[in-house]
Amino acid sequence: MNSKEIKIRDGIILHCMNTGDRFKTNYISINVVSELSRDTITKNALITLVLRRGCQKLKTMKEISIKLEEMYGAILSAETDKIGDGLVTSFNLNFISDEYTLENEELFKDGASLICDMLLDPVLENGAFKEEYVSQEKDSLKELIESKINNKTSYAMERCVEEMFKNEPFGLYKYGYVEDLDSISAKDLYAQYKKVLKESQIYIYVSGNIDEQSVKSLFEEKFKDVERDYKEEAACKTFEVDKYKEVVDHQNVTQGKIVFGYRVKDYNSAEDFYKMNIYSAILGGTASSKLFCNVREKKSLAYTIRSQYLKYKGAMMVSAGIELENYEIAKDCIFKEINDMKIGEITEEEIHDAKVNLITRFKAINDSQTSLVSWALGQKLFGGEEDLNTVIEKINNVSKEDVMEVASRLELAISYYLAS
Amino acid sequence: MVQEKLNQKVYYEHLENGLDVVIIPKKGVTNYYATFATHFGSLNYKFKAPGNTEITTVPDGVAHFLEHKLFEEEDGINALDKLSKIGADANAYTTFNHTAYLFTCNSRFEEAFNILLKFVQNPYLTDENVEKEKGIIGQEIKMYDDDPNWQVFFQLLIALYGDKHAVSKDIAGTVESISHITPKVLYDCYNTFYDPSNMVIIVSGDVEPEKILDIIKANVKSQKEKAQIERYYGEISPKVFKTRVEKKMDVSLSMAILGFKDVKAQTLRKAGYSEDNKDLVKRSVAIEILLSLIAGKSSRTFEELYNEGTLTSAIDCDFTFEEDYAYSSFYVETSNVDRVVERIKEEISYLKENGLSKEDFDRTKKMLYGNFVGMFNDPIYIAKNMTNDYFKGVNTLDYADAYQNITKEYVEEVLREHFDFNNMALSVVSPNE
Repeated sequence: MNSKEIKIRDGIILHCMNTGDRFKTNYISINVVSELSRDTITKNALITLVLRRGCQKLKTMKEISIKLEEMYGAILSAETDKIGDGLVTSFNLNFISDEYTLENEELFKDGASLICDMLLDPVLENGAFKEEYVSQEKDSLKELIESKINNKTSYAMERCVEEMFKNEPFGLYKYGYVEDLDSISAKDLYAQYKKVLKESQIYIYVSGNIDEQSVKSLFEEKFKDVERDYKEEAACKTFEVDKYKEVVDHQNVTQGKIVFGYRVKDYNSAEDFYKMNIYSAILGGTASSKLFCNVREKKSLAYTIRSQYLKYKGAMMVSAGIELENYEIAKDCIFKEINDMKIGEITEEEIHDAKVNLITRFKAINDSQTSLVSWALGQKLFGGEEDLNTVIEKINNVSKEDVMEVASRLELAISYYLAS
Repeated sequence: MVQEKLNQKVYYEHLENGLDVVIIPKKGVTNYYATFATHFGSLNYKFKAPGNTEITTVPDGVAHFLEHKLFEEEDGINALDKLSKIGADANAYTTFNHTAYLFTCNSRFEEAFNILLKFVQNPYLTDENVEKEKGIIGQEIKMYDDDPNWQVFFQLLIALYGDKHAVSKDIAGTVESISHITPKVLYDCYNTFYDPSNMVIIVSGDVEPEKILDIIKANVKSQKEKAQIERYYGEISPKVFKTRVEKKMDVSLSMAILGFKDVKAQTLRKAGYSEDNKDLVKRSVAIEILLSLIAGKSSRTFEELYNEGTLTSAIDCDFTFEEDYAYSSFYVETSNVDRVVERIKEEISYLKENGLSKEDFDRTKKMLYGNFVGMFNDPIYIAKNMTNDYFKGVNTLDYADAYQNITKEYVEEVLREHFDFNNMALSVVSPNE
């Protein structure tokens, strides 16, 4: 695949991924990377919802929906998500390639304009966002924040992250806080929007059978009048890490959810990335992992049990759904597996299996436009220089000593339990 | 037989032993995908095996239990492990009507494929390994007990079809029902349902169809095709069983599904996996179009409910048709369920009276066609759809023509007959006080 990086303006980078005829669709993704902080998180989440309501050309959601349907069911999404201690607001559009339209329509230009307009040309009223949209979207956001409790597995994970990273931006909830909503005015919100647009790094990805020159001029034209004052960000901030804690929440549940959070001491992301990927795959990342084989298959203690490595934060979360009365025994079993890894109870076979599994997953990215784009963006934000092939090579080079070395630096930061 | 749609060829083969094979080759892709599936799901609790005179009844949750156990192998190494070791990401799932074993990988495909063929054809069940699984499945059942989305969906099925039909049984069974499962029960079901004449293999990726067929022929037992299994699903309540079912859970907002029972689909259906089921495809497309026109993102219904604050997220519309039942559904999360129901009914009445707008109709057709094209990006995605459609008795490729050729008149006819308020039921999960 042919991939090119083109500077559109200061801090605005366009990536053209020409995929030839591999895919029958085009995918455009605009990502605004802003500061993640308690003061702005709710506003930023709200901005995304308000922008999604309409632009000058298509002022209502209905008009936008009609436009998307006319474009053969193009799929538009607008999301905010945390990536480490940063916040990413993304506008994504997926639609069929021109050659598959039934009446030779040209969708690409329309698609690119639409997604830019959604971000850059909102519906305004007296120099601020449209009041009606802001007040309606406050209600939407309130419901979105409150819906956190509906899925117990993700709720337990969210709560654990919140407690574990209490002093760090990553501990914030990505949709913000209900109590902030009342005081936000349409004017404040618009000011925050202008600020984000002015100061943030913006990454644009285009994947499909595309012509780079015309894509470039299209986005240059769209972004030429945006007020910018972009300064390259200073070195990474460091935050005071919270002490070890135990947290128990109670809800009306029939199954208990446990989450253990670990930190990698003296985290060196460039090297630890490879070690931790292997570590977590062996511990609880695959169907042949220690947790799956021993805690689930041998001891029948859980149906879901897994570990996840959080690369941006140098952390790992271990989670399981268990019988309420089995808390102590499940905890002991999980700790035993983690301790085993520390003392080197790791076979060459386990390392081999972990590598093979990870490599399959990394290679699989190639078959999907959305995966290719989110991988590329993730690499950018993580500061990883390597392409997929190099990553695979480095995964292959991780040794048992490497895994033991990183295991010795893992420290339990939190025990979280959602109980009845 | 070979068919082609949107530059994608699909190969179909019906082998002498009764096994169906579907191959979706695509040059240059990275991933391979294979699934080996049997027409055996939670609906099949009561059946007569070919050659048997007696009806067998088994505990609820057997199909799903067997799915968990089939990975177990005599050499003590779990098949999931074996696949994992060569880089294949394996999984299995059970639905109302089928159980599927599958994997994706991007190297060593043939090795993985052979493991799949072998483990699905060689069950290894002991008292001990069956007993052990009860704890794991018990936790799976409890996870669903705490899942409001699953609860609201399940309540709807009971409201529409009653508690005498197999669709009212939870796919995984209950902690009580699975306690009665023994190796003998599992072997009985295995021998009945895991016969080539009751199964399908679907493969996609950068493969040569001839070669895949050779591997299958060499590794799937050859025998004469067996007669059909007789299946008894229990009685569907003639009217809706209950018009409204409600339950309280720890949720932030009410979740509700409004369902319309479809009666006509069953009369259109021809048995088995049939090329003749194009009428069913056509009906399904008509209802999809109607759902979108009634309550989709560009509908007046959604616009109004959103603007007045009754809804803050889209109405999720769907048409489900399976071998013994069919229904359409509108899923919402809202603080005012009654208002949403009233508004949807109002729109249905309006459209029945005034007909569909030509412009809206054409645009919706285009949208569904585009979404169909999008599916062809990824052969894994096509294969997954093909698997589901296979067990519904239809061919995925038939949708391409239906999306292009369906007429407004036909869709209007379906509108008047399918969206009958007498066939409507509502399921609600509302917040605890």
